[in-house]
Amino acid sequence: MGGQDCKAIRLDAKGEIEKFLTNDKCASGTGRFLEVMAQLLGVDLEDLGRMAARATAPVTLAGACTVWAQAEVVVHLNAGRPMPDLAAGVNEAMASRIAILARAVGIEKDVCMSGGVAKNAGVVAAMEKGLGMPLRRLKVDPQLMGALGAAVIAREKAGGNRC
Amino acid sequence: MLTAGCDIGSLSAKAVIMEDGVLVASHVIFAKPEPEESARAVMAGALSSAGASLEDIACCVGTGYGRNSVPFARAAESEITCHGKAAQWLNPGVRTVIDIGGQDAKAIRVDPAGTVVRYAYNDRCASGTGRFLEVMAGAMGIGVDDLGSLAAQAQDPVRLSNQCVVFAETEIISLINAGRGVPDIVGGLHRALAHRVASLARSVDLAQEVTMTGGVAKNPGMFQALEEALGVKLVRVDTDPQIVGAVGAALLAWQMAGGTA
Repeated sequence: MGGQDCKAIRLDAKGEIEKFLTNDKCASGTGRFLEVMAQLLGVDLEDLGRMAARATAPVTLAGACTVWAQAEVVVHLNAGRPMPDLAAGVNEAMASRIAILARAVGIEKDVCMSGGVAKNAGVVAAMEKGLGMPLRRLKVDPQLMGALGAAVIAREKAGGNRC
Repeated sequence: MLTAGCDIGSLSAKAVIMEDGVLVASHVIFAKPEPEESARAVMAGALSSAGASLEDIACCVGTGYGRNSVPFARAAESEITCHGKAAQWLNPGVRTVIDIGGQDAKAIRVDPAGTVVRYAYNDRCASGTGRFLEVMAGAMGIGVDDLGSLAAQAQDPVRLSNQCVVFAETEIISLINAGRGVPDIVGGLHRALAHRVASLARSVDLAQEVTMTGGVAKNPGMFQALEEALGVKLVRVDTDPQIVGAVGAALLAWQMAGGTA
């Protein structure tokens, strides 16, 4: 999950791609959705994830569209709903959009999340809840996954030697 | 016999008063936080310009998203029914009504009696509704009312690569920074919205004549852009396009009270 798009990729045992889907047409379900919401709530992106852990009753955002969801958050904000519940609701809305994409490629365990958004603990937790399974944690910074893959391919191209 | 229609939309509330099927007064206000409050306020405005009181109204019908919160209405009807009814009544040749509101867009096919035979509806995605233009106008620091005249000055309208409101907003900021003139950007925005609404209209099979209703129809730039996107001439409604839903409600109220609309 990146700042402007979101992909679900299914791999075989060798790491070859079997199926994938991309959403880069709609901001909802991409990192941009979280950015817009964090700005609206006046918090940092990292806080959005952290605050969600303290939620007791996450708000429900019915609309998928970022623009409509913004209006919904404003209504909840004006109604005095606590910030953790708002943050958790935002993360859950985000997760439910991505879960649709993930299910469309056919989910097979293990599942992991890469891209900058995967650094947000709140979204990871919401995804685990949404998909009903634990996500495998990465040993590296999830944001580096694309570059890491490129380096692995570079090594292969170089026959395992220096490029 | 006086009848009334009260259309409580998401952004504005509209009320009209008709006497035996002839429009005598109308009133439009910005929506208030509570739909019931909007209904009372907008109806009070319409009644005062008609020189009438609520007791004089034989029947009132509510419509719009707040249609069930109109305390003095005898019935609530969907805005699709109301727009179809009124558009066909205003222009008997109309068979397709395109209604673009602040939070949705509809394409409605009606038969010669003004009864809805088919419709398509978008309220899921803000792009393709009036909100698209509103957000973009906000991003450029211009008023929604100035959009039409700016679009008319466009010489080489921009082609937007993003459909999503959120992404398109970033795109137009880049276009401004790249030195594109505001009229060309505004012209491109009208084309983009017209394109989206045209697909909706084609999905109900675009039978002529075609008319446009809803608040966005007040924007002459949108009128022209939609004509270009559809490749057909649009018929204008001979009244404020924003009150068409309320007119339909008042016509239905007249029928309910025994009139022959």
